[in-house]
Amino acid sequence: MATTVHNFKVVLLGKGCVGKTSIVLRYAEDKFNNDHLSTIQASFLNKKLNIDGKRVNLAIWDTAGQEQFHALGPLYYRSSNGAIIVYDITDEDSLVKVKSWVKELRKMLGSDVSLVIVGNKTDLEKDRHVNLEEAETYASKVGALHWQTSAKRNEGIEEMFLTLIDKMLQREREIEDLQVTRQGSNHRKNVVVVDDEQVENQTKSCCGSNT
Amino acid sequence: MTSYDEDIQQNVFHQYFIENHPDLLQKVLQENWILCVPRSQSITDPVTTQDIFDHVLISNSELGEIKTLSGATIHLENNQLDSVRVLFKESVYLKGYKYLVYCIEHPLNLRNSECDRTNLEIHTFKDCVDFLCRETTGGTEILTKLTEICERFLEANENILYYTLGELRISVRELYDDCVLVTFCMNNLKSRCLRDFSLRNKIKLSVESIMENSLNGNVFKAVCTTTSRADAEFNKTVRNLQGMQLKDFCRTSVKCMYAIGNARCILGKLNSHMTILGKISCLKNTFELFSNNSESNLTSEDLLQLFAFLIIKLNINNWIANLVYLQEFSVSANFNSETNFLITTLEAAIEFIKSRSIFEMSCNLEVDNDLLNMIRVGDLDGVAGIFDGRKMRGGHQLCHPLCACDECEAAFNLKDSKARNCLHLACIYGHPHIVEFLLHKNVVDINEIDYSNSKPIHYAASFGHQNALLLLMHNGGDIDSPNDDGDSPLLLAAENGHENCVKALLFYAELKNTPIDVNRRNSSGDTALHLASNWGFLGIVNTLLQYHIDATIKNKRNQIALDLAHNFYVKDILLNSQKYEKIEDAKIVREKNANTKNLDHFKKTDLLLKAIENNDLQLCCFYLGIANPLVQTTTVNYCHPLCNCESCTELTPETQTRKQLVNINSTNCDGLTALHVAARFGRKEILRILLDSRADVNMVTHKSRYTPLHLACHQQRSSIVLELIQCGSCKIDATDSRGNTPLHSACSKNDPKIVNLLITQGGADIRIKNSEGKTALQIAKDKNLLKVMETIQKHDHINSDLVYSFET
Repeated sequence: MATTVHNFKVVLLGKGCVGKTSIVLRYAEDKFNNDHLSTIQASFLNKKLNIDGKRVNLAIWDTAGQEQFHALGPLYYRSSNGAIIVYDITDEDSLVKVKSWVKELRKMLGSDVSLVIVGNKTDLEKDRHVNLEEAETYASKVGALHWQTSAKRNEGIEEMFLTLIDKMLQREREIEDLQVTRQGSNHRKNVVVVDDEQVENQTKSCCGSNT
Repeated sequence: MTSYDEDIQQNVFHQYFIENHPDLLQKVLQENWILCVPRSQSITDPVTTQDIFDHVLISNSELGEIKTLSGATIHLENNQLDSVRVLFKESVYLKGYKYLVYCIEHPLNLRNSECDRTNLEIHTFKDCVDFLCRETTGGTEILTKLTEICERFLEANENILYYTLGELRISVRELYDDCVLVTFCMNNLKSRCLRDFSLRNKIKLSVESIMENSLNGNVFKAVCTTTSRADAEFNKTVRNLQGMQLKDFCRTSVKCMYAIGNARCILGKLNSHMTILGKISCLKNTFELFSNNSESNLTSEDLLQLFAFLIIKLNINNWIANLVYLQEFSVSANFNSETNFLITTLEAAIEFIKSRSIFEMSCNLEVDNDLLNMIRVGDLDGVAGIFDGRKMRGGHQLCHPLCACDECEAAFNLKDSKARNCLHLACIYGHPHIVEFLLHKNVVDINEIDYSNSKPIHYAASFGHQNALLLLMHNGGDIDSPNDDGDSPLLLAAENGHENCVKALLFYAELKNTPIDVNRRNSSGDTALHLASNWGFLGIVNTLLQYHIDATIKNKRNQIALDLAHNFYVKDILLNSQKYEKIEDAKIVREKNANTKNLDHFKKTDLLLKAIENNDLQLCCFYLGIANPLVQTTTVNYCHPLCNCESCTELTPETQTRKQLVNINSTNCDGLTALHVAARFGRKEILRILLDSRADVNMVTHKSRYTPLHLACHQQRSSIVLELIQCGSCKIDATDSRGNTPLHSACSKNDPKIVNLLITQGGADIRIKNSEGKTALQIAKDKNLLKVMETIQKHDHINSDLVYSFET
């Protein structure tokens, strides 16, 4: 029997210019292969990990940060297991944006999504405008992890991803346990399909036209 | 599309390394060295310590070179270690430490030719066929079997083109399960798949692709049918963005712009692929082309904008169908893969085009002139100010208000870089009040041409500004002249999906007896029917056929309009029209004029009913030969009510002279009258006019014997119901073919308001039973509609009292 692969989708969200792309690029970086960096695309990254024998396949999606594309957000973050919401510690407004993202994600994805709130640019500690304590309290209040990174100095990024993976694995186990106790089987997908069909039938029957 | 995958922990080479070299592992962990692991099938000989030393990489960042532990220098470029491909990279975490593993195609010390590397990954349809044949019996037996299953499926589902998306999804899913089952029975594949996930994924993908190929695109065609409406709407949006340039809405590097041409070629082949695999590889190749040609990292914003641009520029008419097909019918896909990202990007691009924001960008065409800018934003006062010579403009003041010297003339006859004047621009941006003002001032030539030989009317038609178009036509605009591409206003309106403009043009031509060449062909030989059917504009195709466009004309690629139609409904209409015309021809030959008159009558009635459905009051009045009451009250202003002076007789609406084209009570083939249609679609004004013109309120349809009141109740239009009741002559208790009165209908629709209206205002009899023997109250009880029951019972009480007292 082959070991199962844990497939996780992780989205990066946050205001433009907080350093989302730099974080992904840092994480994807391969010090053996510098010329390779330019062809890695910042928008989508697939990373294979093996954590103490567990195989994890991480798909990291960098989303559009520009306000103009905000409405397209749900397309990108739907069905994701984890979300990394980034703010800039020198920009107070970016933390406000984080709060609105958290609200939106919780509304759309519920509690199945594991959240990490990341304060980036710790190399600019002297220009800090966001109170660390405030950010941490907020994170624990909404059930998210809080982490500080510096993409420039490559600090905290690897660790941040590892904790997120840990949390997602834990969440996956919880969901599986729930399913086992509830149904005793894991044909969850099939049930969903049947539901879809019923809804369609209903709508068909009530808007049938007549002459 | 699959990429190579295997469990490193199970790899013999890796196991040997962990078990026999714990000290080296420690060193690797500390020094951040890399371990290369050959893929498991490429390892033939037992692993030795020397092999391990050959496969540990040490980088010397100062020299920028990579050496193996045994001392050989190695080059890493484009995912190739010397000539050996790196299949994937995996970070292995062990008790808090981390090392990197490169899984490589075959051992580094092995020659290329010495190992078998077929079917590592599946990228094309051919890969699927090869892979499946090899893994099963080695022959094509599996292909025959799968094809047979698919053929049986098509026979059993001959109506597949009429399926809803849900039905389609379920039947395809079942077919796929059958196919997988057959495949798993061969060569002990099932148990092998249980051990090897990557094998299973490859089998699934291959089976799916072969299945899709054997179905011969029928599923995709069925999807096209279900999305045809959405596609037509999307096409209209896309057609109207044709003027956009890449620089208008997308900031990308110059290099990327050069790649656009190639990308168009690649993505343009999307519809030539029937399999999902093929379509995805199309997307993937486009994606890769962009990433290889950009200097900086492409973000998802850049990507979606590039895709949006391609969608606008490509001649593909079923994007929505493609998207739905990729999303809903990819049974074997892994939601977590790059594929998913590509599809999402496509979806985001489509959504982006649909959203208003792209329109805002497209309107930002730079105009560096006050006057033209005012026209763009529709500032009538500003424009009027300039033309009346009261204001300074651009430092130039008119010599005197009526001056016509060269300088002042030039100031009025401003033109932009494409030689378009004020009127052209007003038509492009669709400001009828400015068009009216300019025409009234008579300062510009209504038929002035720009560099592309287009007149203002061309722009009004192609941008779908019906009001501007009507103004131009009524002021002597040339309605049927071609521009440089051979497009007349009619062709432009048809191509861009502006049904209202197509109708306006044809209708005006008919009304004024102006010649218009319906069958005009543009420079590629397309008629308006070709264009409309290509983009799936059902309404326009219908209208054109009503005006007897010739559906047999071929374009320069030797296609008739039917060949271009991807949309099932459009095809259906075109096919029917051919039959219809044949019947018509035959009848004319046999019975001369007798039947054509009848047919003509039906056609006209259909036109009337269509006009009501579209809530086109004016057109409706025209057909019925009634004066439009709304116009009458606003424009006529007599000296005194019975005045007969010259100016007043001119004002009198020509009620008597209007010709009645259609009788008010005439029916179409189903027995629907104008009143039925007005009631069904809730056209209150039209209904009033019809009632005022003494339309019969109690006409019934042929089959179900519905009165207009029935239809109004069915559609829950309370205002219409009230209107019908109040007209006086309406039979409130009329029964349909199943014995239902309007009250029954209203009850079954759970509409207490209408029930109340029928009983209190109309005095409907609540005791009437339908053919199932049920009263309205019983229907409501059966469905447990509490509010309706309450309403009826309230009146039941009073009514029964009345009845009782009356009887005694």
